[in-house]
Amino acid sequence: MDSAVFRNLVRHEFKGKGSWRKQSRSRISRSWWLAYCLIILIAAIGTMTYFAINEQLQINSIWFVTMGFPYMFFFWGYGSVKREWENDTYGWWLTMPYPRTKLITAKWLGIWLKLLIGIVIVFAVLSVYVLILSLVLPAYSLADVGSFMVAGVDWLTLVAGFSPLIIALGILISIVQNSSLRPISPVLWIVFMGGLSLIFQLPDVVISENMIQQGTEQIRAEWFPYAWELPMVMGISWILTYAVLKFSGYLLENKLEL
Amino acid sequence: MSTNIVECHQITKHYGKKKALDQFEIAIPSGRITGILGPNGCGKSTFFRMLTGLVRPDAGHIEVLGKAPSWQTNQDIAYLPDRARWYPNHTARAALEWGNSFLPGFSMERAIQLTDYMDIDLDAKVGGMSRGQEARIMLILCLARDVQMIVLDEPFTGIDVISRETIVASLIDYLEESEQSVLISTHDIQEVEGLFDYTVMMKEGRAIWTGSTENLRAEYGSLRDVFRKMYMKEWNK
Amino acid sequence: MEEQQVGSLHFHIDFSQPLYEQILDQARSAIAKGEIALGDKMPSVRELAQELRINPNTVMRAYQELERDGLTEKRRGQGTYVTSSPEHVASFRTALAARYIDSFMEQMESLGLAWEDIETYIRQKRDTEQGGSDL
Repeated sequence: MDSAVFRNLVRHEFKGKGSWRKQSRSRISRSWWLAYCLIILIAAIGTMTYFAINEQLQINSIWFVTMGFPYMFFFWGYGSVKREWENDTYGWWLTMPYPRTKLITAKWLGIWLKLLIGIVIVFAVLSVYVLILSLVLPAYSLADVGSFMVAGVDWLTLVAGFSPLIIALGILISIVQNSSLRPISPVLWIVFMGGLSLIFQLPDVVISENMIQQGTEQIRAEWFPYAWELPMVMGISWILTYAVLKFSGYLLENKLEL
Repeated sequence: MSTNIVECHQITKHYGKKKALDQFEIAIPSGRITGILGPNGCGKSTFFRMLTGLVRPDAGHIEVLGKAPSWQTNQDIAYLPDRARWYPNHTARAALEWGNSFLPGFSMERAIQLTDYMDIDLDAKVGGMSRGQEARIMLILCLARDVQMIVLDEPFTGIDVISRETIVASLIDYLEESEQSVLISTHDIQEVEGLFDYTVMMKEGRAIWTGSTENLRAEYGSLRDVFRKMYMKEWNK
Repeated sequence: MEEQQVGSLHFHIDFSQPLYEQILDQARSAIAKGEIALGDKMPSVRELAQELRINPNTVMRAYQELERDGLTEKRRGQGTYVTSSPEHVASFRTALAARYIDSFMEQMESLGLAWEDIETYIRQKRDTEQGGSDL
């Protein structure tokens, strides 16, 4: 397969293709949906700003907003395959004249790129928000902003670094559900969901010390607060990612049950 | 070329306890418009999915275009999956661009001619279209390709009369211009029985009659009558 | 079975009979009867296939046979036309009549009828028909 086709595949996966299930919700409920999101967003910003004005906001704890990212990314991976079935487009997808490992890899890469962009946007938006706070409110200094950003980089690189595996596992479980291995999918759900909580164990350093206590104890966030094993674990997770994608391709090629 | 485009030997496929294909034997000659006829659940779709490598036989041997089905053989097959839909967020144009990027032998120029002929607005979103319009777009994705073989699984099901007529008309146009082999499965032969010059009748996972449609007519009368007689039991269930 | 008009031609297609022969026979008799005039354009393969909803290959084969009969001719880039020579049509009509007579005679002979008997039957038939129309 030439690289232009692969690039197009990734681009196709990157763009939203829509969902018939969501489509069948009426327009009105969709605008309600949007309204709810806006209300929650405004409430969150409002609460944060309120506490900030009262000088009670430990700004690093703002990063807790992103705590759900690993689960979210898992479900992006899961949903990307599941949607082909929900939409009844799997026949088109799987009869494309390319190896199925490539089809899966393109999906995976499309999601990962989307996720990276998302992370950068969230980082930028929150940083700007904190910067504005520090300029307006005397309680916060520019040094706090710097510390906030360092903590953010620490945490988000961790998320971004492990997300390839997280997405791949989400994809895998969705494929398992459409293959002859379907009976083991409940086991996989338990293992993966349990395993995801590991990611919150790992950065204990980041969350408990840097994020929570920092505001009171004036400890500055440091670059790379992790143990030296972490890069190694991350490296291993990338190798695992490759293996999971290969295995997913194998399942699609040989064990599909339609 | 007078070889066979499809050959199946003793194909068996189970879904749980149900046999979708049961020692299925078939040889389909190239360059013909073949109708694969039979009631729902007779194994037509399983057979087509096997041709395109979506499912594999439990036992038996299958060849399409002289090779075992795989993603490679799909380069030369335009396939309309059964009960397929299209991505709702795509516009008609995006659907055609999808075809242009990924389907070998796809002609954008021809595809656009076909949308014009089939009265499809290129900038309309699939999510807002009727089932019939969506079906037309999916058919265009198959007919705009210059490939050895076209496989259409139930292309006339669940769409309005006008779309159905448009699809039949564009199929006739297409057949006039091309030398490709076409396989069409349907459980409803009204208005399309004149299209088939080769017929396969399926029942309970087996091919019960295979041959030239003209011979079938000479021997048994109209396909519709044959159909009614052969599947009486299924329809009365 | 419904009658369909394509250009100046009429077709009755019966899906319980082989289609190729029906198209061929009906086109032949339309030309022989003069239903479509000498030198007129025949409907295109596509038009006929569309109207009758049949496989264009079947129509094409019938058209090729008409050309071999000498009843039509292809003009490059313009389509198929009924021959402009009345002799061609006449000779085809004679040949077809001869074929019909042959098969008629065969059937009569299979009933063990002799020439005289057949003549008598035909005369009787003509008399009743003329008598009928006179009334």
